[in-house]
Amino acid sequence: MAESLRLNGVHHTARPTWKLKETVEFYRDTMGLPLIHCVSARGWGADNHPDFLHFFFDSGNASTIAFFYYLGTSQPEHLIHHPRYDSDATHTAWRVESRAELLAWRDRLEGRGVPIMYQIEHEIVESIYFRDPNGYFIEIGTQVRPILPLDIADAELTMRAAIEEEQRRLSAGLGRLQHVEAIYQAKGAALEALLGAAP
Amino acid sequence: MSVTIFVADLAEFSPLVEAARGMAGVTLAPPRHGYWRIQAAGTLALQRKALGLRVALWNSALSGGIRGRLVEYTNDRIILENEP
Ligand SMILES: [Fe+2]
Repeated sequence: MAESLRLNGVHHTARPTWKLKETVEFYRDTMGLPLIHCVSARGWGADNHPDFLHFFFDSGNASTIAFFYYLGTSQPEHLIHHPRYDSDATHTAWRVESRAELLAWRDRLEGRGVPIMYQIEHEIVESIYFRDPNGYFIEIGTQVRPILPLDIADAELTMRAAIEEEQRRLSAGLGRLQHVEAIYQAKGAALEALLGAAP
Repeated sequence: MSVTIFVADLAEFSPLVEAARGMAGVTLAPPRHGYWRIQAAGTLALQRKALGLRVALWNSALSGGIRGRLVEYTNDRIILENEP
């Protein structure tokens, strides 16, 4: 029997920081994530790699969030986090197991002076959003309902409609997708083909 | 030709289905392959307040797919019409 190859959750995600003290105090003290490992190393590998600290905080369920602090460097312009939707797309979202826990995190963070920017109930997750001292966007969320077989089939249908519609547009010289309406229409056409026209 | 909204049979989208049930000139077909079908001749209009959909859901209310074209999609109102 063929073994299936699968991943087993997150070991770590990592970001660079130029704020050592603030970052450690935020994750370890404000959030209360244990500092569990720190590499302090001479620069090696790539040419001109600076000496660095690489440190890890326990974010539960054997996952960690890690940072690199590059000694003797200044933050390059392209790594300054600009608080915009497209930059904020790169973010970390942690799971808690209930709405009560989510609200307890909200209380803890607000009680320690961290503004909660939003609390939003999406389709399958309810989340709070805030920023760390680097400006990085952080989310804590709780699953609202289980993932159902229809979620999986629907995601596949949406992706197929979007990719086919975009390919059609590109072939016709119309460029990439511009508006979500075109995806709704492509998906509606696919569903009507599947289900047949209504009686 | 008529206007159609397909709605995935998932709990968060049920306000759309419930609203369609009470709308004059609108037919509602129960889920097949997981999708409700809301259909009307000519035009279909939805009001966010009447549906009671929270903002995130209002902005993905048509994600099940449509037949027809959007002539209005604001924070308060969606209007779908026949393809010309
Ligand atoms: Fe997220």
